[in-house]
Amino acid sequence: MIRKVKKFFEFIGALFYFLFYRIKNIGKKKNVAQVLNSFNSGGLEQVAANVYKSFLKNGNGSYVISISNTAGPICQQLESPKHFRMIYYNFSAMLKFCAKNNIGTLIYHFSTFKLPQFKMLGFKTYYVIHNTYLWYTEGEWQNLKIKMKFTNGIIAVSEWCKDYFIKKTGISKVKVILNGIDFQNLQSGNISTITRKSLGIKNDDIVVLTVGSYTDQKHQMAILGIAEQMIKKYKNMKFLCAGPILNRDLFKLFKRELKKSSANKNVIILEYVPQDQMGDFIHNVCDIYLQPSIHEAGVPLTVMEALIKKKPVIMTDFMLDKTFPVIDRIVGVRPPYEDLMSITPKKVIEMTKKKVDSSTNEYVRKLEDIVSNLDYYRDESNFNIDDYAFLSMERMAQEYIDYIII
Amino acid sequence: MNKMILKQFLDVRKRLKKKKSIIIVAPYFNEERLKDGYFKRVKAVDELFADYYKVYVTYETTKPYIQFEEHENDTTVVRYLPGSKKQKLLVALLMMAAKKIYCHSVWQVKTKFFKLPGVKVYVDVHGVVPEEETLYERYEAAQMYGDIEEVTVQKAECLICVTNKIREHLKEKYGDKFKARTIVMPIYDTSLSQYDIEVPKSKKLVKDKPVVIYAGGIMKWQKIELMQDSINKSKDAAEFMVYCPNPKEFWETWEYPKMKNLTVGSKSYKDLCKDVYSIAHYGYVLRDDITVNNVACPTKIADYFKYRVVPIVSSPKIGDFLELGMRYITLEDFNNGKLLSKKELEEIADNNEEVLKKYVERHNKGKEEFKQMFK
Repeated sequence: MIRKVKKFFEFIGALFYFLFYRIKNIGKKKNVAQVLNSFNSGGLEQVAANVYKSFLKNGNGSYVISISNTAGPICQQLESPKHFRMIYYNFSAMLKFCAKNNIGTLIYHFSTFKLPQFKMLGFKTYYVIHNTYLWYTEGEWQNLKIKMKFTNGIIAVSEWCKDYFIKKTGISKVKVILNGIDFQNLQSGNISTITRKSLGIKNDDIVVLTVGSYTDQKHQMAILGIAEQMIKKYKNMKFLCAGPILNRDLFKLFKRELKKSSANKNVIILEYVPQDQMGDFIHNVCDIYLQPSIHEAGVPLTVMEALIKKKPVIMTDFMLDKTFPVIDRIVGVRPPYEDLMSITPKKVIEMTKKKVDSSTNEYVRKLEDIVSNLDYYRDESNFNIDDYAFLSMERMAQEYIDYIII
Repeated sequence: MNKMILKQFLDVRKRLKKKKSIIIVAPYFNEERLKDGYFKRVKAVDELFADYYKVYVTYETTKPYIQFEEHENDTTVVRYLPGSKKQKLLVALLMMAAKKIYCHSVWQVKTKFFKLPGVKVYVDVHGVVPEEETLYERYEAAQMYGDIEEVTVQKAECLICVTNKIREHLKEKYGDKFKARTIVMPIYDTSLSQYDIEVPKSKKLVKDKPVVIYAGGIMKWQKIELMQDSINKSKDAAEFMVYCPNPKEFWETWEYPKMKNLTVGSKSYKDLCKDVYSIAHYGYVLRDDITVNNVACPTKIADYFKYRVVPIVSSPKIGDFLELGMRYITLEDFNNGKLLSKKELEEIADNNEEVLKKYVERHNKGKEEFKQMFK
């Protein structure tokens, strides 16, 4: 009870603080903030960081708000620590931060923390759909649907998740803005401390790289099924699995299965690869990029990074032809199910534990094709970076800037 | 309260009121600690308060009660637990009695200091704390010190900055909110001049090659792996000497074949001047182009200039040196074998000696302003 009263007065205080700053800042250009549940590492966070940078470059005051106190290496990408705030699920703290920094637009990434309340306080709110939220219950979809009424706009990061979102909510006014990456950063990033040598990989080994956090959807277990078949033919093939461990049980299971697997010596586990080293890491370590996800938001950033680094990509086909104007270096494999709408989190949990499913043989066949054409992919004259301009952050930035009202 | 503690407290408070005095919020230095740049600064400032009664306030303690230690040079060290309200109150009363607090960096500042009636807060800005905390991936601390820094630039009586770049950085970061007076007083230890050695204008080559040195720590931000890569790439071009507190650590990250022309060891400052700086032509100072380095004040560069050593830099934006006219060779040129001719080496060393003079002038000017302020 006392806590509630305290919180109420805290809110009243924050409200006056908010009004004071709003009056003080009348006539001044408003700023924009990205709102996330956490700001640690991962694709969603990277997109938010890229959007943050885009607005900053555009001359807007740009900030990132993390609802929880989870923060990580991605914070290093922000121009100043002043641009980042952890608010510990405290509405008043977020309101005060927004007031002090004259933030008028909030771009929510997956999180919907107090979205309607901020809208009612005069903020412009946008929601970014980053994934096919298979784990949402009907109740949660209803809840999201209501909250979406308090947005100025909804953005999906791919046709694939837009399609799913529309089917689930019936809301059709969704703008697709494909994620983009910073080509410059990728080319001029730091030298990777993780090298073929440090990983014990020989120069003539073929390295198949997967980058993704250990979560049900990423389906690292499929790599074992593919690897077991591939190494029968290619003894010098190494499968490198890099990514943070978000689901520890799944990771433990993966390690147990790896221990039993005939591909035990051909699969290498790596944890986090610093983002500023990613370009050099992919360039020097990877030959082929593999992403056998069960479902995805669309195109993972590392897939884009691999493409820009001239690597052939093989991944589960999430409307790749609709997403990519150029697909000569990206090979799609049918997902291990017929209809995404029939997939539930329970099914994903079952599927993620399987090494072999209906996609495995297609993966193996197409991977063999890529290996036989490796010289073609390695030949610089067969790659024109301009063909991939649609993956650039500049394109993404412009689309966000044009769409978001500040 | 324990009678003994009360007696000590009243005694310190009485002296604070009676004498010209100051509270210094920082851990107290000793011989061992003086290897660290932070404590060198604490000592340098301590010397500027020579005629003051100084009370160091620190939460470095192993005891559950407040402690009062008497030291030489009219100094008392008060150790307290910041979690204890009673002890905090006693420290606040001491601060109110002294009326002046000198905090060594934002790390030591508490926003409550600014609420103490009649107390002026002076802050020595050694570095950019929120940015450093972010670099070390301590994000909650970065947020907390960011809040403190914001209050500090508004309410502190004066900020004593180690570089002009720090002052500019804070002014740009806080814009109109920046209200505090500032003094730029770079770190320059005049006492080290006792080890000065006459350096010839033109240094001799060793085995027909220039000598490249590194003297310093093996911290992540000192880019040791980048330096090792450079040493390996330029292995035929020079004689290399690396001196660090723990040479073992250097070899831990060395992943190249051993080189006959690479010496790794440990030396005192005096021996470094005599045996290393005096014969060296080039010296590594590799730093990333990030705020923490752009505003820093590495004493190593001043030593290089004094001993006519040309810096090899990956980014020249280190503290105020570029602004003062520093000349250097880039790591890229060095790695590509584009070494300087004898004449160029001399010209750059001459130029950098002038830069050092300007740097010392800036230090002396800052010191004068400092003394005036606390007269």
